[in-house]
Amino acid sequence: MDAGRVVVRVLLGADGRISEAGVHSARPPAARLLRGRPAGQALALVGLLFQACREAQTAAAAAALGAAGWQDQQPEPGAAAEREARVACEVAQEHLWRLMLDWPALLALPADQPGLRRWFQALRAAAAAGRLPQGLLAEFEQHWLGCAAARWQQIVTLEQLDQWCAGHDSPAAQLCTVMAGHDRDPLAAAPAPLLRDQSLASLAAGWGQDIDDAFCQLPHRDGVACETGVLSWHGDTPLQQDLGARRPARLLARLLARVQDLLEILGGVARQRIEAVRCADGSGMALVRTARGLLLHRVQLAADQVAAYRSVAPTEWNFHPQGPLVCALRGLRVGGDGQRACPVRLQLATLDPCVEHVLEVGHA
Amino acid sequence: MCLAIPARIEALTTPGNAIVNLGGVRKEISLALVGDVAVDDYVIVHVGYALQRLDEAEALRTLAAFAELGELDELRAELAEQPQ
Repeated sequence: MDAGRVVVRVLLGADGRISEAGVHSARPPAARLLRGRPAGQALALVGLLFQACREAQTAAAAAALGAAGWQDQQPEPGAAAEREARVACEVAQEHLWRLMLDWPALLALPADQPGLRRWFQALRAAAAAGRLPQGLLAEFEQHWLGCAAARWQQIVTLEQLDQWCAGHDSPAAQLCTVMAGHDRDPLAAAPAPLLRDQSLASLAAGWGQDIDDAFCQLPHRDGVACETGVLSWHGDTPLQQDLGARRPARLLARLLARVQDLLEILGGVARQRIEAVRCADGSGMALVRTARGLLLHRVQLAADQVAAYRSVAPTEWNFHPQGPLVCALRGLRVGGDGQRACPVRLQLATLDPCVEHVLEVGHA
Repeated sequence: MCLAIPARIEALTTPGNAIVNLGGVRKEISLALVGDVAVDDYVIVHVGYALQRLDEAEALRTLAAFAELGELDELRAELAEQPQ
């Protein structure tokens, strides 16, 4: 078996723009494996199956099981903070992977594999200790950002960002410059709405009992497919407000949101990424804000055994047939020869499918 | 999201790469994100990269879980093919 894949199909018009776009996400129904198992065994199995994002998945499972009444989940003092820290370390790891390896490789910029490996080691050590990374902000400032975080935070307009990039030669400046160059299409389509209100109480009230298999495949808020990733909670900064009005394709916006999130984590800012509630039907629902977007687990217990288990992964939000990717692709200009699919791949990369993906390009 | 399957390293190839066996399928992956690994080690593979080394016992437990999931997949495919 495989871990699933995302298939993206686009049709190019004679004008070099995408006239039709579709996406299909097929992934194994792993949550079905959890049904009928004792709660503790289900939690352990989640950790085994989802090792690439183990902290987020385990945190979601533990929180949902606890909210559903699993009595073995009696957290010791400090356990919640430790779990938050481990999730934050994993999120930072994902951000750095995109910024130092994936996106530079896609944009023909130098990728720093040895540097990324050292970051992974440092972040895993912090996660194992159950704390936010310490002493790494200066490393990030010096070797990737190219300036102090305080200086970076003073950039509040696109013009200021352009000026800053022109005056620096750091990996951050190079990546921002090249990404911005792909983000200038004045006819880019309206993007998917950002899911700004991500409090679980609010979301759970809106969803009610409607989290069924159909919702898990096609999640929405009030019927609308939303972008739920890191941009949705860092989208209110002055720089993002400026970008949002002028660069609807969101490539640069997603990059800058990841940088912002990294600066928070490396700076020791403890943002709440895990929430859980007990639903009216006795089930437990948990939400984790991951690097890619919202991860949701919902579990119903019967005598401490899993009677029902459902999960919604960020991939389902990002690659929804009416979601962020498809909105960004409709009308996107990819060049007249039909082969320059780079803008499509950049949209894919900045939304980060987390599984293998296939891009199929045809002509209208 | 993010199912990550353990794979046994069958051979080290060009610097930084390896051939792994993923449930009978041989595939070349990058070792850029892990430290020293050797032939017969198990690693977690995710989108073409080895993410971390895994001890054999945990790898085998995980593969058993994936095997069970594969059976569910096959059952689902069979059900989908049956006439309504």
